[in-house]
Amino acid sequence: MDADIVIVGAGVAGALAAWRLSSHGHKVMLVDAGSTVGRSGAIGQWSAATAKTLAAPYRRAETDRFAPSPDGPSDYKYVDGSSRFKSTYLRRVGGSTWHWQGSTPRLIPNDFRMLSQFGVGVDWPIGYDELELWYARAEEALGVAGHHEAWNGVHGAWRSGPFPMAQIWPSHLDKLVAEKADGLEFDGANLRVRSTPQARNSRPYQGRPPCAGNSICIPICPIQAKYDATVHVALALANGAQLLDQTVACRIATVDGHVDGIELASWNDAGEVTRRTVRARRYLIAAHSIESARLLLASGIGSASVVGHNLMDHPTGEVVGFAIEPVYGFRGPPVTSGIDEWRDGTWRTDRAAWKLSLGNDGHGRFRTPEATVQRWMDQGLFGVALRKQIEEHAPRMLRISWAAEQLPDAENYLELVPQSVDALGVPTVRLKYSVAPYTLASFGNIRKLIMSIYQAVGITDAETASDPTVYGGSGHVMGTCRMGNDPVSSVVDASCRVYEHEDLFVVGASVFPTVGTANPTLTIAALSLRLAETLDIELKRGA
Amino acid sequence: MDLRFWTLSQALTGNVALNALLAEAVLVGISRDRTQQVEQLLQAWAAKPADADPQVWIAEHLWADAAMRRVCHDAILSWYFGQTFREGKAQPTPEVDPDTLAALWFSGSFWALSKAHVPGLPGGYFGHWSYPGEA
Repeated sequence: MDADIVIVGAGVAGALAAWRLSSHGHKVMLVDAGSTVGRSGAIGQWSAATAKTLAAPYRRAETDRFAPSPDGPSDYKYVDGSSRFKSTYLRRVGGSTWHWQGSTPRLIPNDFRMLSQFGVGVDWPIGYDELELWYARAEEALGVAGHHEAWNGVHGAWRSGPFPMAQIWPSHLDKLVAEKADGLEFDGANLRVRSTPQARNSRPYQGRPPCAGNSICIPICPIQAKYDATVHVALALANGAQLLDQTVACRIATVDGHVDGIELASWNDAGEVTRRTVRARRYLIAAHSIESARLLLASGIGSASVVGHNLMDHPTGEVVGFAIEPVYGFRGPPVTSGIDEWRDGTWRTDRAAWKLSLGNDGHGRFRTPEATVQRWMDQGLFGVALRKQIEEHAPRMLRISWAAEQLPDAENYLELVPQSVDALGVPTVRLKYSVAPYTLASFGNIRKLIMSIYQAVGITDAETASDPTVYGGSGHVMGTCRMGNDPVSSVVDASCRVYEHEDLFVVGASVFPTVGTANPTLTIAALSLRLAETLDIELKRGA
Repeated sequence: MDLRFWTLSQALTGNVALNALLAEAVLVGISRDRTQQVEQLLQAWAAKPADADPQVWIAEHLWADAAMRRVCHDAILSWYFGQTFREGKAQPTPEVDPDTLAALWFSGSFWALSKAHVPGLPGGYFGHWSYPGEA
């Protein structure tokens, strides 16, 4: 045996499991397709990059060759007739937490019981009450800043204890919006602006500094005030875990319902590839929703009618405008507060739940500052007049965005592309994706509420997408290996074990049966910590 | 440094405090694939009568010409956003060394006009974003 457990994927799910299991003395081998990232080098690369995309700090020719990461919707292959899937992920040690926003709300109780409460979607085989302990431990592990009183009991999501640190300070614009719009009545609820829980330090924590407001959390925090999974990769390594970076898991070999090793291909910067098979007592696939499903499909594990299916995101949209007074955006974390009243309601029988975020980043993705200045130039402005226009308008830029729930849909899937392999010979995948009327039905309502908020804060020139079905991606790639109670409709059981494979587990957002409206990372972390305890018990038992 | 480009940039941005050392990088960036067009623009600017109001002259002579206007837009975007633009999009400029490109980024003037700091630099202290903008 090469290890007690091989973990594929050194993102947040894999890193946390590696940390816990290595803390218990188990021999852990952690494998990641991508390279180990040096923060200062990545910052330098980002500073000099002309196109400051999500992947800009992380681009490396060899990594992009052997472990490419999608940097936009056009980097995916699609089944004919598919809509674009607008979220991406990063294949590097530390995974997508390198460029995540850092928001860590919990799912709420009804998110786990969509079928029994609302007659849509499916129920999870576990509920909020069972996961609460793990949510609390995940908040401790990641270092979540939040306001306990503001969040305890929201939509029934009780909390067993306070956050490990005080909330991140609300931005100036959060305070202005709260002052003008708190209490606004809409669709049976009253609006309240709340500080968003986030894995971003409001005090020194785990040897990392508090946030200094560098405002480039996406794509990289220069000082690691924002949690990323390299924190737990480092802790696992300190415990004796072995890290194989630049190593792609190509296939899981199985014999009689047991894993007989994982075939790895390691590559180096000279472009040389070496292959070997590693064996362990347990195997954990934590390679993000698309790569985990791809590995199972490439290995012929699980039913192809379930594996890869129910791909989900939180479709987004934005309404932007210019406030009547300066709100002073472009400072601090991208989101410090949000509005969560409409994450639950009896109407979830017919339309999606949603949450709003107040953006500290001007007009966000709706219109970049460059595009705004370009518009002003197109109106004939330049020189002193343009400068004055920027000075008067840029501090007043306000954005409110939404993220809506998407139900599981077997017709949203990824599948292997026949006779197509990547540079390492691993089958490639293509996506089939669309956003259903259930989700789109909420978009109109959401816009109405945002317009009411804008009216309250004195914005009269609000803009949003003219096509009401336009959606963006949240960067939340979920589903594809869902958790359930039977192998006909799910890939893993309630403990995240792959059906009919005693020694094989999957964890991450891939196992979410439904997605509610919470950013997925805290739930990923909670599930990973919960699974690590199961694995610790099994490994100690000598099974 | 091309003095013509620096003085034109000052007029286009309304900012006399542009970093002259970075002007070369911006010029290289916006010139790529259209050197002749940019040279024509600079010659036109150099030929401007000394007593002409720069803002009026630009509106009448450069803004009226679509191709020249496009180059001017890219120069303005480059100075405000610290990246090299062509046809309205930030574009790779491998002719310029990475350190200069990074210095250009941190000189982008849009952020200061927004009462913010350039993204990537710290804002000074924890929670500064909770208060009115930076001077």
